[in-house]
Amino acid sequence: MTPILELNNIRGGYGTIDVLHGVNLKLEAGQVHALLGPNGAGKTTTLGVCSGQIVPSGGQLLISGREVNGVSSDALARAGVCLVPEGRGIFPNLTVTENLRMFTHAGVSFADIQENAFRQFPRLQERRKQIAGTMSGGEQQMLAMSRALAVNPSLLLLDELSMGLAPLIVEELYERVAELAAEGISILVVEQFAQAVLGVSTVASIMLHGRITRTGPPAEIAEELTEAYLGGTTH
Amino acid sequence: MSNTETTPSARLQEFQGEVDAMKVDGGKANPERTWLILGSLLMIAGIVLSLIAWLTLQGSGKGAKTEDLIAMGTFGLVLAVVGAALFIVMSLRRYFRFWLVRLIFEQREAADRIAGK
Repeated sequence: MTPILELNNIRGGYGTIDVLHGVNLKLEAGQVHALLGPNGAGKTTTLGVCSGQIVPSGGQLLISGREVNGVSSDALARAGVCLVPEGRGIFPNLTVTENLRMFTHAGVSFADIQENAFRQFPRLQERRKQIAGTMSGGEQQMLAMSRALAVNPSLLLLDELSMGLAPLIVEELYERVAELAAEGISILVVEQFAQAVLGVSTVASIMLHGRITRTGPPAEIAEELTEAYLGGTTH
Repeated sequence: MSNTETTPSARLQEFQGEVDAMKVDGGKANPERTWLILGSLLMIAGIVLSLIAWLTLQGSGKGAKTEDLIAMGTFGLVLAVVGAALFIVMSLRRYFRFWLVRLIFEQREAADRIAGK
């Protein structure tokens, strides 16, 4: 079966500075792939490439088997590749309902988006009149995820879902991620803190210095993580 | 794209169709760099052309070639101006992009601070 997302020897970065030095990654349909690594490894840049925000300077970006190097991020989003960025990417000065209204850009009706968001995250319904920036971090993350889910994505890219959140909230969010994968959505999760994501992922990779140094079952990767973070191994 | 409930395989087929229909132009990882180099080259070429025209004119008397040399010098000046403009615009684009990213980052941090995070 053709992988839904494939990176072949991807190089890329910001301006003249390359951050990725030949990234290879495969994500099969319905998989949850955890991309782990210390700060500065290039995880967020990899998501930037996958979502079309960063054009790779070399290599191939394949979505559903088609090379899409240079495709615009909005075209990818419309097709069903959705990114939940680090820092959530919501409008902190608007209410939950106003934020949901902003998500109608892809042509989905407001009623559908609202119904979908409140079904997935009932807590958002209780907070619908609240200013998004005043909600808890977990609730903001739920709102950010409901933005991505509003367009019925096939490929979901999650960047540091656990950032600044209490462990219980992180666990709850990852349970939701597992449910989404069970519904058939392929998910690439970038995380610095691995414990929460390894429980729900089907494959995991370690990224160091702009390269994926190891890919394997989550249990095996968990054992190698400490060494990778502290020693910077290059298997 | 519809937001209706679909089975995973139906959704995957729809996704495959949408990916196949996407326009892909190949893109450029760093288009500004290309324009910056082109601007610099134009600037240098223009200055060299103007200098050659001016030095040749200095060494020769008035003749049939004078007008050609004046035209060449003027063309060189135009090239140098266009090259310099390209160089400045592309440099500013890069600078302002980083500036904008910094502003967005700071605004996000300020919003988090206000919200007490």
